[in-house]
Amino acid sequence: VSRLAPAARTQEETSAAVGLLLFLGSSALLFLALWAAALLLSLRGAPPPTPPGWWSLLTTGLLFGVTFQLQKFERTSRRIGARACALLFLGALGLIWKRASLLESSGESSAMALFFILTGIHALHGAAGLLALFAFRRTSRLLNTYWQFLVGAWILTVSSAYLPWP
Amino acid sequence: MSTTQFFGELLSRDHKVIGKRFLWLGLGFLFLGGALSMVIRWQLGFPGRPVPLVGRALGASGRVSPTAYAELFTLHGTIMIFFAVTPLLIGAFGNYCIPLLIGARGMAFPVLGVLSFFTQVTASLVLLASFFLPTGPLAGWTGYPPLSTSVGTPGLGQTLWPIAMALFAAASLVGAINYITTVVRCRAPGMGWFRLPLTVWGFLLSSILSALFLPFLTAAVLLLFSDRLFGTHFYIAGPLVQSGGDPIIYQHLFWIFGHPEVYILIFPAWGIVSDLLSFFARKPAFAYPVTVVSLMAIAVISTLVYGHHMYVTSMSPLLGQGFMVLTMLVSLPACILFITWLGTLWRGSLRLAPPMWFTLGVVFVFGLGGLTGLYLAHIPIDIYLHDTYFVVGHFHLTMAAAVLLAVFAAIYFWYPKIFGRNYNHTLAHLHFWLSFLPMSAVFSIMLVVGNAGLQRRLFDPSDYPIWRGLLGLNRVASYAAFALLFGQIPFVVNFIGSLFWGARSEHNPWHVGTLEWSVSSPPPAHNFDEIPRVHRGPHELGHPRSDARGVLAQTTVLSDEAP
Repeated sequence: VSRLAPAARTQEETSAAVGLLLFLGSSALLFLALWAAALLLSLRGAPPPTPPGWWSLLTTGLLFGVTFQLQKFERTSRRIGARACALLFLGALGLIWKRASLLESSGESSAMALFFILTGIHALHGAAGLLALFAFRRTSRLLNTYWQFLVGAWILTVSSAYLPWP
Repeated sequence: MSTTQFFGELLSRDHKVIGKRFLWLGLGFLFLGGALSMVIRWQLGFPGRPVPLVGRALGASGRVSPTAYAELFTLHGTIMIFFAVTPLLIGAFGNYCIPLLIGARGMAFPVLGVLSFFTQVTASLVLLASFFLPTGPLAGWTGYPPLSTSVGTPGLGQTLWPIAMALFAAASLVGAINYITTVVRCRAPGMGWFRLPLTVWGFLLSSILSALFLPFLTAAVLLLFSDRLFGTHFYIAGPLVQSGGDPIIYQHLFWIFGHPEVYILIFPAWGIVSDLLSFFARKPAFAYPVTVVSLMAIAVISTLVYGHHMYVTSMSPLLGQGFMVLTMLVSLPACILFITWLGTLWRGSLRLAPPMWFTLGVVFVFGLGGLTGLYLAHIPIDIYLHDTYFVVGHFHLTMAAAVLLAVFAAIYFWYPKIFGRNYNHTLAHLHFWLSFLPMSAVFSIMLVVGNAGLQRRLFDPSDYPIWRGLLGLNRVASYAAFALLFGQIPFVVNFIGSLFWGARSEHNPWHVGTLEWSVSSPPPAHNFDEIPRVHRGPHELGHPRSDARGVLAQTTVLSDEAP
């Protein structure tokens, strides 16, 4: 994009924005489908998931850290803070899974298992975002939009563990 | 060729190269899926008899076993819907035609085209791997749990099915994002929304539905995969399972995607049909804006009707009635669409070239399939017909016959553009009649035996005294199916032969004015030397100021028009 003339660059950026919004819309629907499944499972009597406690605050803070760094250093090549926060977020997720012993909890409650799947899907998106942080030469508003989406999806995912289940 | 050149060719980002690759991939799977259906028809027509030619592949006896039968209908359905028709109609013609039809140099995201193709290939390989396992997937193309869970179907074969489906969903989603962005952002100057060929509208609406509903398929198969591999119980219910699963959740997730999937496949077909009827009737498409609005209305309503697939899942009667009314409502814009097609044909100067015959075939079988859908929309009738061959006949008429005839119409229409060669019209006409007649016979007989109550997916219906009387009809359907297979010989001979021996095609053999015919055949790598400026719609045929061949191209500037 940076090699193109300004007009063409704007065109390309707008197309990229349209493509990203479509992708994020589809991703949001994937999360929605899984949340709907979680709701149906709880209606069928599945025991609610165990909330991840203070880990939720830590992971959410780390995600906010990524977007803050991207916002602060937009259109520059400085991304070390964002990369560090993203790596720490994925590491913290791994620790949550280890502490909750994924497979044992999954057998006990379908709602808990679905919570793991939701966090797993989120982690996949996070890993893709981390890859983008390493791949692109400069940070951009689109990259930040992507991470902002991940913040929103994470807050809703984690909150679902604290909801009063039917 | 050096290694760099080889990988350069392999990873070509040219939408035309990707489109042609999808075409070959889809045709390969079409014949594989078709071959599987022949064995199914053999078992239904001649139950218990050794299968000729391929019997040895099924075991020492040469007969179809009940397990093999379940694998056959599962793989046939999965292959035909997701690995044959989708790559053929959406992958091949979407990639090849969209940029040419809208006057663009390429797709908005050429890399996504490559990614979409290779993800589809990976999905295909995963599904093909199940052929080499002792037991393949056998829970039907819908993969309903608990049969599709490890409790119902142990073994790796059924585990590969959700993996293949998830990869398919990823490939299609990537393609859909690419198509939508391309149509929204890359149209040539002057190519307003109501100057788009209807084919493009078909691809656009199909892609929007894909982007909206493929995530639901992904969610469904992801949970199924987790049940099979990680021992979760999302879809397993019962007193022994304490974790609170429910197989009906799968049906919700699957059909939220599954019903729009019908329209995802049929929209491009309808778009192509709407354009070709106009081109070969040599007059403008009747009520173009009405056609577009009807397509949009169908797209919207189609998202609200999935529950009609689940009438027999102890759904609340009130909810069922809602789905019934909404399903009936789809018929209104569908009828309007049908009337616009008839309006286009009315008093047209019909040119019965091979693409037109196939297009007329679509109009006929879609009418038949659509009408039988009205029966199934009614709860009282559906409760009787659910899981019978009537349902099988209905969706074969709409999703198989209509879509495949549209695929062949598209192939015969764009073959000279894609390959730069002419094909033999006599063989093409022969192909039409040897496809259309047997196809209509097979699927119509399915409606008749289904109406008599014959259950689908039965290994041997003649085991049941009440259905023994239907064996004769089943046998006729099987003969028609075999005729359909032999009817594809002229197509294969013509398609392959014309690549080598076909005469060079002229640039615009059908004398139409859309943009793809304004460039050489096959088009250059960059499509257009100069990005064209569009001055009119795609169907200006029979215009008083058209040229000697009756063409007024989208790019033509008339003397009293501003350039």
